[in-house]
Formats: sequence, structure tokens, C-alpha cells
Amino acid sequence: MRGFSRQTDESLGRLLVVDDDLVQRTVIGKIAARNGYDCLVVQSLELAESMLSREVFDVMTVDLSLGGRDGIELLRFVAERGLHDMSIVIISGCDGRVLKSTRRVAEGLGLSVVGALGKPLNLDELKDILVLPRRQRVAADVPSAAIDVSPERIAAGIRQGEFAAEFQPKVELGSGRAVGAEALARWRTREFGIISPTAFIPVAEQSGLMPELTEVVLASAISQGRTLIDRYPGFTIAVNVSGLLLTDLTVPERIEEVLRREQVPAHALIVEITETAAMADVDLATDILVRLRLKNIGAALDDFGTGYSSLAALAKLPFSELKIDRSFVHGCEADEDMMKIIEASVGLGRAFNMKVVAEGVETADTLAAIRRAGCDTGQGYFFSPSLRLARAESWVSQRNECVSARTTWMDQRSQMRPALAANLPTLLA
Amino acid sequence: MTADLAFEKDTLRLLVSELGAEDAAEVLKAFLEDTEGKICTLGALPPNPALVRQEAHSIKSSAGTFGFRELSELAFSIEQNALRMTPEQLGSASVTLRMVFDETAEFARSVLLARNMEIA
Repeated sequence: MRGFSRQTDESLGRLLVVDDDLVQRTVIGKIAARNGYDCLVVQSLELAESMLSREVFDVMTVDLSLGGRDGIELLRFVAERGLHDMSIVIISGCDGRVLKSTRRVAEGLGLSVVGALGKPLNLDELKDILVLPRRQRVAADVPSAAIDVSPERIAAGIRQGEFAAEFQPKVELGSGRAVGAEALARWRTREFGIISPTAFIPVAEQSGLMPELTEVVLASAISQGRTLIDRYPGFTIAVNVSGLLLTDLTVPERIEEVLRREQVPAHALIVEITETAAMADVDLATDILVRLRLKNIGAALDDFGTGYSSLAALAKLPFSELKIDRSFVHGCEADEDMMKIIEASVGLGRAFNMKVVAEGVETADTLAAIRRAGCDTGQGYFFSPSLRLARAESWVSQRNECVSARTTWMDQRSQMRPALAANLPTLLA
Repeated sequence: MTADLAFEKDTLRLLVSELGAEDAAEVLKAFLEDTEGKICTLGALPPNPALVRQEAHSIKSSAGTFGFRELSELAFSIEQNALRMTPEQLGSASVTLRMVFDETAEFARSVLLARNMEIA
């Protein structure tokens, strides 16, 4: 075990370097110290576990090969200790696929992975990654209020009309038009402001409040989204339906009743269901989905690829749309493995006559990649985050006007070209 | 052995610029001592394929950090094939690795450390 004190005035925090190779751990420790970290370097899993049990570190670099042990064991230890705020840099001299898979394992454990580096180390990349966690910590240093998400508070929120839908636009990649939106549940409280769905959905599911909550959000989405549906032919609103509702055979009639009440055509609604939920009781889910489809309501297979039964869900259930999970889409342009999954998903979607939507599109490079792969529709921050109705209407309006203007211009240009070509000899004369 | 064949200058230059000449020299000395020990382990009889693979993996990365390409590539090749090699092949690979390491170490001591990590 060895320590390196930071050689800068400003501190980036404490760094634990875990590597059984003397040269690597020394290089990492020295570079980190020169860039503002107080470092402790250890050579074994046992020493790392011992230090993590006694001291607090902001960042840890971990080599996957630790003699007879491995870095995955250490990542599991970190997760079990609840050290989710510690930034982690994974380092390995193994095959790049092993490195990528390890990153996914760590992220699956809920750990904050800020980088994955192959060996021999690229020192520029190492430096960039070591500086990154500090920026992220500063961004996250916002005090979080103690939020009451008890079932009673959720039930009160439903009664008081605190739940409403926001809309994240979906863009048709061929034309560039906004052709739909996913309605996302938002809980606005007076005392805490907006509460994340990740905080209240699990509580609502455990306390049996999902049927009520889904109905409220569905009604809000349909009622608000009607203006978009009326204005743009073919525009659809997608609403997430909890798996818990797929055991209730009255769901299709209740959804139909909401549509009737709001005077919205059935084809304008898409119900999104995760594969895990759909496959929990496949007979009941089939019954419900078939009746939804018979009523002309669309059904999307959400988070495709993340469960254990993606292919079975495709084969057995009458979905009309396949939504590739964001975990495959994010950064796919730089990840051959992810691109293969996206291309295969597009192929499956085509084979089952489904529209394919890529979720989590955040950059122009990702957009270009999913377009090349043949996805029909894109959704994500690159286009727009979820928006309140007024902003969503304005966004869709501006986008579609812009697309129309471009289409008109392109048409005019193509009409002018033959005329120009015909007149060219006269003009040049 | 010429300097051009022995190592990638840019890799070593970057290391020296990041660590400074003194620290880079300290790490290089540690590498030479550590790798010497590993290569002695590899030469032990009878050869242990799993141990050879593990040590070759480590030498590959460390040598690459200094830009010692020939040593790094040889170690990588041994790492990839160690589990399929016969004892004779393992012995032969260890001898070759020893030769390349000795040349690398001689170059490191007589050129790099002698010139205080100044790279021509």
C-alpha cells in the first residue's frame, strides 16, 4: 500500500487505485496526484475491501485482473456497501468486449461508472476521465429534499389532481416530422415541486395504486393530447401501462371509455407495455392485447431487449410497435455490439410487421446510426425532452412547419432543374 | 537493438511529460525490477501455463506503458497462447521473452536512465 499526495492547490478528492501491477498502479497514482487527487494505491482485492470499509473515497480505479481474484468481485462489494456515489473507472488489459460487458455489469449494480480504459493505458484518456468525476460531483451537489412518497401522499396527489402527463415527441426518421409523443407521468407537488416517476411508481405499484394512477395519467394524456391528434393526421399519443394492469380483463373497456369520453379515435392511442410485464401471465396479456388491437388501439413493446423474454414476447403477442431500449441506443454509433443488436431488432420488427422506435437518441451521431440501421422513429433528448402541453404543441408545430417548408423548397428545386437544363443553351448563348 | 525498433518514442515522451523525468525514471526502474522478477518466475520448471499467462498479461501492459512495443507484443502473443502451449513451447517462449527483456532493460538503463529520461 502506498500513498501519493496531491500536487495542486485545488483538491479533486480522494482516489483509491486498485491494481496488482506495480507499474500500472504507480503510474495511475502519480498522474492522479499531479492532477489534484490524494491517492492511495493498493495491490489486492482484500486490501481494497479493507480500505473501502474504513475510509471514504470519491473515485476508485479498479483493474479487472487482481491476481487470483478479479475486479468484478470488488465491484460487487462496492455495490453491497452502498457506495453508489463513488465514481468508478474500470481498467483492463483484457479484450475490449470484456471491458464493455464489465461496465454494463457495474452499471447494472447501480454504480457510477465514469470510464473504462484498456491497457496499455492511454495517459491522455486517463487524465480526462479522472477530471470528469469532479464535474459530475459538482453538478450533483444539489441538496435533495426529504420527499414523502408514501402511498397516502400519492393517493392524496391523485385526488387533488397533482398528476398529469408531459409529452416527449417522437420523430419519423424518413420525413423528419413529429408523428407522435409519449405521455410521461409527472407529479407536481406544492411542497416538493416535481417528483421523479422513479420515486413514486414503485410505491404506487406496491400499494395497489397503479390502476388509479394509470387511469388519471391516461385521461390527462388523451385530454391534453387531443389538440395534437386533431391538428396532425396520424399523430399518436403513447401511454405506459403498468404490468399490474395486464391481469385485469376490464382494461380494454376502461381505456375505450376514456377515448369515448374525450372523443379521440382509438387509432390515435398506443399502449406501451414492457416485455417483462407482458410475459408475466402471457395468456391474460394476450387476451387484453388482442382486444386492444381489435378496438384499433396500438400496442408497443417497450424497453425491448432488456428482459429475458424479448423474442417470446414478439412471437406470442400482437404488438404493432417495437421500442428499442435506450441502453442499446445510447452511444450505439461507437459500439459495434450495440449496433448489431439494433440492426437485429430492426430486422425482427420488419419480420413481424412492426414499426421500430429507437429510444434515448441524444446526439446527432446516434441519430445517423439508427437511421442507417433502418429504425422508423426516434425519440430522445436530441429532439426534445418531455414537455408540458403548450410547449409540446409549439415544438411539434415548429418542427412540422420547418419540415413542410423544406419539402416545398426541395419540390420546387426539382421542378426547376429540368426547366433550367432545357434553357441552359439559351442562357449561355 | 536500435532505439527505433525498441520503443515508441511518443508513448514514452507522453509519460515523461505527464510524470516529469524524476518520477518517470522511478517508475521505469520499478518496471525493470518487477519484470525481472516475473521473468524469473516464468523460467521456473515445470512451467505453469496459467501463471505464464497471468505474468505475460501483466508484462504486456507495463511494457506498453513505456512504449516498449516489441516486449509488449511478444508478451501479448504468449498471453494469448499460453494455455494451448506444450511445456517445451512454454519453455522456449520464456527464453525468448528473457532475451527481449534483457535487450530492453539494457537500452533502458544505458540510454534512458543514463540520460535522465531525455529522449532523442
